Amino acid sequence: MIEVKNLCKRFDNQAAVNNLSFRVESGQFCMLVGTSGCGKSTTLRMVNRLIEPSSGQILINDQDVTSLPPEQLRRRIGYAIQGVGLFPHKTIYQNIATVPRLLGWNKGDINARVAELLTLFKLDVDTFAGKYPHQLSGGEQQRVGVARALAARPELLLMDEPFGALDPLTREHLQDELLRVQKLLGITIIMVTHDLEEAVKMADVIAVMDKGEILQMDTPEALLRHPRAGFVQNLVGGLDRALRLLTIQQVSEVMTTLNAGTLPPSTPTISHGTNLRDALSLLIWEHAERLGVVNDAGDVIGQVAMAELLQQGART
Amino acid sequence: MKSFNLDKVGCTLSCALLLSLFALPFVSLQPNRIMPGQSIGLLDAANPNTLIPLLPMLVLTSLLSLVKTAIRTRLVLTLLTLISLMYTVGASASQLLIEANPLARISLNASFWLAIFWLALLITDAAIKLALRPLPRLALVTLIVTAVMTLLTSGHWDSLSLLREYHNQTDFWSQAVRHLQLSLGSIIPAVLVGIPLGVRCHRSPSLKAMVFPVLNILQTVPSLAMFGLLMLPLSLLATSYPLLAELGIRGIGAAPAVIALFFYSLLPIVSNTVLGFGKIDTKVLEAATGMGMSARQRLYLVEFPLAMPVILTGFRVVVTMNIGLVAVAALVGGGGFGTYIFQGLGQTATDLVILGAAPTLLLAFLFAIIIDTLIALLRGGRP
Repeated sequence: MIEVKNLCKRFDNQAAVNNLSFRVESGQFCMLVGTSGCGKSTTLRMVNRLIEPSSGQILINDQDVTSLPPEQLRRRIGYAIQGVGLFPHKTIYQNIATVPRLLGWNKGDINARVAELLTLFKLDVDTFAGKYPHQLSGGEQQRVGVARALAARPELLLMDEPFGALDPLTREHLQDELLRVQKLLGITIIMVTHDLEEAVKMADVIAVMDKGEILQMDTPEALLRHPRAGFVQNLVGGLDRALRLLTIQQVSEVMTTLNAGTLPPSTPTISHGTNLRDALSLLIWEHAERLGVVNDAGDVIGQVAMAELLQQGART
Repeated sequence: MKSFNLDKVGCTLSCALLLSLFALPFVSLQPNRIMPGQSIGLLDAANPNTLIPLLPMLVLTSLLSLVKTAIRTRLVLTLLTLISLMYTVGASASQLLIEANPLARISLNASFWLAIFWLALLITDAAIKLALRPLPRLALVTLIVTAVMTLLTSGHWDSLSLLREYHNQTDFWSQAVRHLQLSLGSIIPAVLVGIPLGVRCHRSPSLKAMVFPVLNILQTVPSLAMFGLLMLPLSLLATSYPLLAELGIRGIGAAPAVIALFFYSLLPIVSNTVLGFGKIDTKVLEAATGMGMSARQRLYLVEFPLAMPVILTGFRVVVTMNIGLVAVAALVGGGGFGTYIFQGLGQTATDLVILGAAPTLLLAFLFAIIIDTLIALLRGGRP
């Protein structure tokens, strides 16, 4: 659990972060969203003390971050940034092993951990361990960047627009992968982004920031349905808000369960992990009224109907 | 029809090679050590027997240099031509001396030196076209140096005036050691001072604004003036503190040479350190700090390794520069190959000058190649 209390940061008497207080529960994915210069990156960098606050307090599991030397604190917190910042003179293995080595892990543990992380991010160990960063694609580099941040099993991962420099397709893949890994490991993530779509898709809780303050902190659904007037309303209240709402839920959450074989054979099917927006898109494309939902093995486990989908995106 | 692929570089170089070899004097026959000599062309100097290895090699190399194919064969042929040329000049000298008076000397002349130059360019061109990796490149250079040294020590060139001068000097190898001591002896302190100074300048722009003008001015002082300027304070020191004099700190000798070269070495090392550190991606540094590296760990694990190729480039500049400058240090009694150059100039004995100049050149060249190899290995194919 991360607790931020009355956090302030002034640069040359200009408030970058102004009296910020919020909580992120353990295992939650928290997004700080705002335009550039709103103080979101500054807030993030105060958590691992890359920037020292002017006043206020940050507690991680009730322990004040200033109670540890900054280096020791940072080794316990994962940190991934836009542009990755992989060490160009070190192999992928050495890059991922950085923090474990700083912590003095033994060689066997490091080997096992690097292999485990590469496998987790679907990178073949034998192919990638010995390569150098410049031999990898942008998406692969960013995967390694996240793997490196997770190397010493941190409970908290800080990410500063990690997917900002990637092409849309790669970005989407990596978002899905990060969500999968987060669910698997149960870590807490605080991520900074200016991309509302990314925030709505991934976050458990979104904090919208402007001029150094949090204007609203809510679940994606609550934020989209009940934005506060002013900045937040402008940010989330566009015409596509219904479609954004549909990206939050997966078909498995709204489907009605079905016994195998009761669906007409011509019905199009969709994977249970797909979000509702993509499901709607498929319905439109196929001229269909309903979709069969299949699990990873390909067995039909349920169905969603057009009306149910549309209902999810409607105002309440 | 398959188009004829003319190699412009190879064509130019081989034309220049043939032109220099046949149109300019190959050796000169001097009545004695210092009298001006009589120029002799290649065909007059060498009899058919001594030309046998050279001419076919020349023809083959020149023909092969016209096309862009078979670069590997061309490289081997060029090397063989180089060795044949050195063989021919040695053999011709022995021939010519048989008929001459006992004091006569044979000196190498323009056509020989130019031919060596063009052959070296042909070899370099071939090495570039083959895109030789650092280690094979070093091996090639080692091969050439070994071949030349074998030829020189075999006695085959002993009729040449250059080797006569060499045999007259009993201290050639101790001067060689001295030369290296002076040039490297000034660089090691310059590295120990220059790199930390460079790191500090990188961190503090105000320090950089103070240090760089000073180093720039030091760099512009002519070397002779620098030796002269150092002589006075050093001799004053030596007379006031006899202990220093016993340690070798005197107005003349090694002390002013090493100190002057130290000053000259600072600018390239400091500026390249600043450059190397400045080129590091700030994202990499942010990641290093964000992952929990201390300032010291970041410096040694990330910054130094990444800046090292650039720092080494500065180091290479300094090494080649100093090996050349040490030659001047002979004027203030520093010793080294410069001693022969100045003796030769005084006695108008050209070959003694060459005995000092050629090894200086060779040393500088060898060190440059070795450091280049090191830089390439450190970069490991990184952009």
